[in-house]
Amino acid sequence: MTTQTATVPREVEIIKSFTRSLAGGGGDGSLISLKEASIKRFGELGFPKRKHEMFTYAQTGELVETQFATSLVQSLARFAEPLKSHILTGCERSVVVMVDGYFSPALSNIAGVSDHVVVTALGEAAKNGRILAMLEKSATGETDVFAALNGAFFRDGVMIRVKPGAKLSAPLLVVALSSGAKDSLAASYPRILVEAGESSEASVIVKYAGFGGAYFVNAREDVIVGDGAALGYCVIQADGPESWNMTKLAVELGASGRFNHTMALNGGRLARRNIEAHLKGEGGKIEISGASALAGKEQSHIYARVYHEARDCESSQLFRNVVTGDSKTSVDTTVIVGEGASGSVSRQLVNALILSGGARADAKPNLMIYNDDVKCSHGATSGGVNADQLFYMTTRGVSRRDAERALVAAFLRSVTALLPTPASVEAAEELIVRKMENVK
Amino acid sequence: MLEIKGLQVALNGTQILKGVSLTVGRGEIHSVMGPNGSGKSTLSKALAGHPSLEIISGSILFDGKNLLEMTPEERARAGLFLGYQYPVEIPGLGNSEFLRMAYNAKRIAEGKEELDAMEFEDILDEKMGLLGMDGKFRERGVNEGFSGGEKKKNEILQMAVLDPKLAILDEIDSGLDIDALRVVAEGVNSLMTKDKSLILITHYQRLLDYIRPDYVHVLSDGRIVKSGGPELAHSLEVEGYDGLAAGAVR
Repeated sequence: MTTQTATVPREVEIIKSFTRSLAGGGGDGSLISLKEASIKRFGELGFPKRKHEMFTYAQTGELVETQFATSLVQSLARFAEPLKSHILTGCERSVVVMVDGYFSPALSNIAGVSDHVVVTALGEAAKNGRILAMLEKSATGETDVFAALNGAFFRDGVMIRVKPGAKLSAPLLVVALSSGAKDSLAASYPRILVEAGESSEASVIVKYAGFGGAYFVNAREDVIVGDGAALGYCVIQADGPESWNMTKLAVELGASGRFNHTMALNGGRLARRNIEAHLKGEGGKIEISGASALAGKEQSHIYARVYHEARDCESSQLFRNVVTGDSKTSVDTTVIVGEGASGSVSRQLVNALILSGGARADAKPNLMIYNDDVKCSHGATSGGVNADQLFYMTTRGVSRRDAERALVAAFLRSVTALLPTPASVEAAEELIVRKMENVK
Repeated sequence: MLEIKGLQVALNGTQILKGVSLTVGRGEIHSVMGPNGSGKSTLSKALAGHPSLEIISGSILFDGKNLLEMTPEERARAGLFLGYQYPVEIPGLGNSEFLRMAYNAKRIAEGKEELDAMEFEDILDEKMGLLGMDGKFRERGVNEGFSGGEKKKNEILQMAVLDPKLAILDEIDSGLDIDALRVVAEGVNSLMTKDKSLILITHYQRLLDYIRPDYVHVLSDGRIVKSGGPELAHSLEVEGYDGLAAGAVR
């Protein structure tokens, strides 16, 4: 006689775990309503099954089936030394540090920008009714199950507020470290909220990195760009090859606001960024540029939805991905031009270099237009290194191998060159350009 | 220096060169002229080793070595340079970085040590000064956003840096206004010595007013149909290619 045991869905296990987590304290009390709204939404959404529109290209099955434990950091002080290698030149006095999702004021140093920037724990910031209402609204309307999971399980977070009219002389660096775990897959839930006040000008660089091993970063980034503000927002995803990084970035852009988002992705088991941007005020402009360099069985995935909701807004997107070995990259991006968004201009371009027979690149640049007065273009290319460029270089005496390396680097540099400082450009190049040089 | 015998070349199954023979001695300047579609650019690409071309028959000796057995980079390191009619743009690769790569590839082939960026800058400064080139072209991507004239100047800058034994300049005059043509031609003349050879591929006699050839060849339908001195270029101006080709048949 055999006994059949019904399999408990992962979602149910996770919801039970959430209940236990609340009973055990569950973090800052001011955020409980947000967490409850998030777990409710998580239950409604459920993990992606086959043919889920949002996860058509991203392979998440293995992640969902993996048992992971929430990282519980005992002492942040021990990270002071290894942190040093992640602090970019020029950001020594404008750095915010999170370890396993926990904001560490002690490891942070914002002395260089403290006149212009206020950095607080997210729980503290959520005591402001406006902030809490905004977070709760995003939780109830969430469409990404992993972002809902972040909303339920994050313990801590950080809010960075750039004061209205402030002009930052140096970029603000946010280092989000993952300590990893020895016995099980460690999960952390970093949460970052950036608010650029009216007419402010600032650059923020978020760097994700770990100390090796397998771990899961499930992050949430919220960005509010005030009227007339200009925010550069860069992400350097430097997680290791065994890591998972699932991040949702939600952006709201005010009138005449500028938002330049640049990403350099190292990959890992899966580096996925879900970008949801709303151009809410007239004359807003958003530029999104991303590059990834993948080897082995690494994956990167961009899922972007850019909403033109006001007149005379402009958005442009450029993605450049290089794949070799059995790696996969995909970009699924849609620009939605609303009925009232006359005078919209948008561009989408997805380029992939495929350097091996086993590698794969998918691109789906898409447009949904509900207004006649628009100028929108979209395109995608994929293939090997440009044969004309290769021949040109070899006729100057450069070996074929060196020419190929230089052309791959040049392809990626069109994105990494957009980072705001020489040190950040160098960090991105070290991460993805040099990686490809070593692979080929 | 260069000895081409009975060269027959096809592109995508269509024969373009139908038996070209040409000898270029050390220190000589040859001009290859001809109408559109005559095979001029195919000849230059065949000399540089373009992988899309099929060599049907014939031989090419360069400094006594069999050029057809050499890869494009080996040909370049041996001292052969092709100046392109349409120089390729390489966004993201700095002009200076590219030139240093090429220069160092040559140095390594000669058994010398590579130069670092600082050392190479001195050489580049001198060569750019020679051509009157603005420093802004140093860090811009290779030919990225350059005007037609700037691209041609950049080709001559590469020639100046690499100091080849034999340069083949494929319609280096196309797309240039009179002033730009003069500057480019003066740049080429300044690089020529008694040890260097040059093949100028062009449609027009105008370039030859600035760079005086020792020999002029007319290429038509994949064959050299007439060879002569500089006066041949002047005859072409009067008679046109059709008239000359008819004369050749007579």
